[in-house]
Amino acid sequence: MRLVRGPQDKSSVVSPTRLPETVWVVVAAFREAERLGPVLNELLTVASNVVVVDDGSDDGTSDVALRFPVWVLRHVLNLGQGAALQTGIHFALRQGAKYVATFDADGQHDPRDLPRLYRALIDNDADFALGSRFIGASPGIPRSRRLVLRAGVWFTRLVSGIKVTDTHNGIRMFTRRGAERIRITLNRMAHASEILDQIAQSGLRYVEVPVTVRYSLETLSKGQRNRHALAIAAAILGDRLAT
Amino acid sequence: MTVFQWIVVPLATLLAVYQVRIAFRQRARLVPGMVWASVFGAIAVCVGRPGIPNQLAHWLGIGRGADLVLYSTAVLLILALRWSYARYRYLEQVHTALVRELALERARFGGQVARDAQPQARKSA
Repeated sequence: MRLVRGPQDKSSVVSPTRLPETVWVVVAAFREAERLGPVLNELLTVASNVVVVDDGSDDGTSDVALRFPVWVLRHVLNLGQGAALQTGIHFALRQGAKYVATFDADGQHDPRDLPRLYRALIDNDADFALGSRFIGASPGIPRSRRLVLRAGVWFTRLVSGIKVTDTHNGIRMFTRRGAERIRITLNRMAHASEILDQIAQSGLRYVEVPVTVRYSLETLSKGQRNRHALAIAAAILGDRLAT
Repeated sequence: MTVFQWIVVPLATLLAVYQVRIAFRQRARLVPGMVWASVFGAIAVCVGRPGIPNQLAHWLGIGRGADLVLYSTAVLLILALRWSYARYRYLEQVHTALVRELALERARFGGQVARDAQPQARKSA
């Protein structure tokens, strides 16, 4: 396993503005009826194959997704973001995807980062490209969130032995070989750490790529709370001890 | 005998007998029935004859019978907790697999324009 740093200076990257059709983007959405439309509008300017996994929403999230030329899968029950991503990855692989990306439904991510992740995979001959807001940009990130995320980085280094700068960033891209090594079993928020664990265990090469995470009052109200960090740590340690 | 003993000993004995009956009537319940019968039997003995756990504790080098019961209970609870967690994780995975399979089966392609040229989902891969 090797960590390769992606380009630090985004402007220096000659990246395509559109992803090839071999790339499938998985969007896990729960109660995102209001925000999903603009996110898909933006995403479809970059990606042609998009899978939205509605994780048992009761606000018409799938109906919104169905207005767009995207695949829509619906969990009949809310299982959690980890489970929804695994469903989407599974579907994308079945459809013959050569690359699979994950992307949040809440508008925090910039779709223009996806081609950069793709290029990073190609240029570095890596199987996993992981977005990092700490080598990229995170305008408006609250100080407490920054501290919690930093603590998460150290926790992950200790538990998984993987040296990344951002452990809970939802924008990533895998090659098919990489995606086949990922099997998310922690259904809820701890899946991000589980993915890193599996990347570390796979022995495959990964690369970190600077990305932008946009914070606003709206995204902060919906996203992970700082207090969830302890629950995530407990889920990971509990699972390690008991299985 | 104390009031506590008057209450617990007959109750634990009855439960032990009941579990033995179930164990022999339903073959599938043989092992769990005998385990529970042993637990209730041990409770009846320990409460009815406190000297026995005391002697056993002394023999094991623990000291008091009450400590032996406490330590044993702690160990059993940890084992039970681990077993319950493993069981919970198994059920969670089964339930997730079921929900996932339904979602995969019912995948739909959206979009007004694209609907006419809807790609076929490949399920064989």
